[in-house]
Amino acid sequence: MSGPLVSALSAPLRNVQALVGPGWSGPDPATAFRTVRDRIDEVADATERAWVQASATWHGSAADRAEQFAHSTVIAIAAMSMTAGQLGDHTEQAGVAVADAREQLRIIVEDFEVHATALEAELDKPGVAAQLVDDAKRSLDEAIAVVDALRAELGGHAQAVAAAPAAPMNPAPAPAPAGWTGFGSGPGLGSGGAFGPSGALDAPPLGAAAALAGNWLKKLPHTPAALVDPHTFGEAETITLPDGATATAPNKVAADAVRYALTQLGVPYRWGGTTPGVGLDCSGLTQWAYHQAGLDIPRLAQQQDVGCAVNPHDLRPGDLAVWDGHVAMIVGKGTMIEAGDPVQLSPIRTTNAGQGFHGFFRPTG
Amino acid sequence: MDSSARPADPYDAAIGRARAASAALSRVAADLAAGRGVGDSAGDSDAHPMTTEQLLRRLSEDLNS
Repeated sequence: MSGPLVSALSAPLRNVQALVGPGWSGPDPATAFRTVRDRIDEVADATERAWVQASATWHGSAADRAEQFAHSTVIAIAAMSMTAGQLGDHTEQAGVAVADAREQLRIIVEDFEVHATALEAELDKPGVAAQLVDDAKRSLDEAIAVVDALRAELGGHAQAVAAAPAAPMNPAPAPAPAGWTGFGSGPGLGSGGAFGPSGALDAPPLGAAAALAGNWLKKLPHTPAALVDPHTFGEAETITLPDGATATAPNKVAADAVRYALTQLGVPYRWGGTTPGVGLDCSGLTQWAYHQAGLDIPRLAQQQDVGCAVNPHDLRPGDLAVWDGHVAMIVGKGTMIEAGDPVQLSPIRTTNAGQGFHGFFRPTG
Repeated sequence: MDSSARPADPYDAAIGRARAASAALSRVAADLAAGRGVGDSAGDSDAHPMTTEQLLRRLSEDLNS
């Protein structure tokens, strides 16, 4: 049992410990966000079904325009789903951070009190009192550092949540063609009304959330104007990797894209970020790097499966690994660069937080 | 009235108090080291060791100031 001296020394430590609460209580916001995301995914699936049915018997210029509109709509839905999923990720990570900090503080306080109680019994020995007070200071400093780190992490999550778009990101849905009344008999998707009473919201999901956009978007053309004749990209070009090794990119544009991307190593992750040197998200990094290299690719990660699909055994620098909500750029030698937090190099992989993997793509292919 | 004035963040205030307590512990530890500790076993002619009661009083004053 600790004596009055240990109690006095432990008091400021316990005050710091008390600053960190138990974490989420009651309904978990992360679960709520994921429920929202799943409902949005259901809307996307129902949208796809409706369009597939309509397009089977509808051809011509009006059908083409309707398809463009439907394409934009699905992209907007995909962005909404991605936002909801990322908000869920942030809130979950915040909850984990609080729980971790709480456990660290418990250990710091417990270790100090056990150790200090043993020292207190030998207080009349030379140097023991000074050691005891020193230990108290060290433990207090450790506890303050834990709270400082937690506040910084929570601040980052709060900033990311606050910066999340309230409405679908670009590209904005195309205006509905004349006469277009949306899917079913309700108000059109682009008319400002809600998703109409077409049964879409009640339709059972056709696939997992990972299928969002991935299935259908690949059936539709992606901003073909951004892609030029592959022959204009030129010959293979060698690049030097951060470790001094070299790798051969398929052409100068891909090589330059890798070079530009590598300049951003260490830049903080920022949701929706497109500013080099300041803050980038995954697709912001790859889009910026290719833009600097002379090729415009779409903004959203799941739209960046452009160019030609690449066999995993034939990966070259500049190829993109594309998931439903993430994208990374192959650098070479089994390594890719991606905007985690911060922008960093990682071993090439095909998994990413349970998201659906679209595959590897060569924008210049 | 300064329109930019904001109410103090209670966490900032609490961490500020914890940092002040840490600084106070540094001073107490330094004094203890100079006085060679607590009790009769410590001390030479130039040292001024604190008794346990004095140490408790000192901590009470310094940590709550």
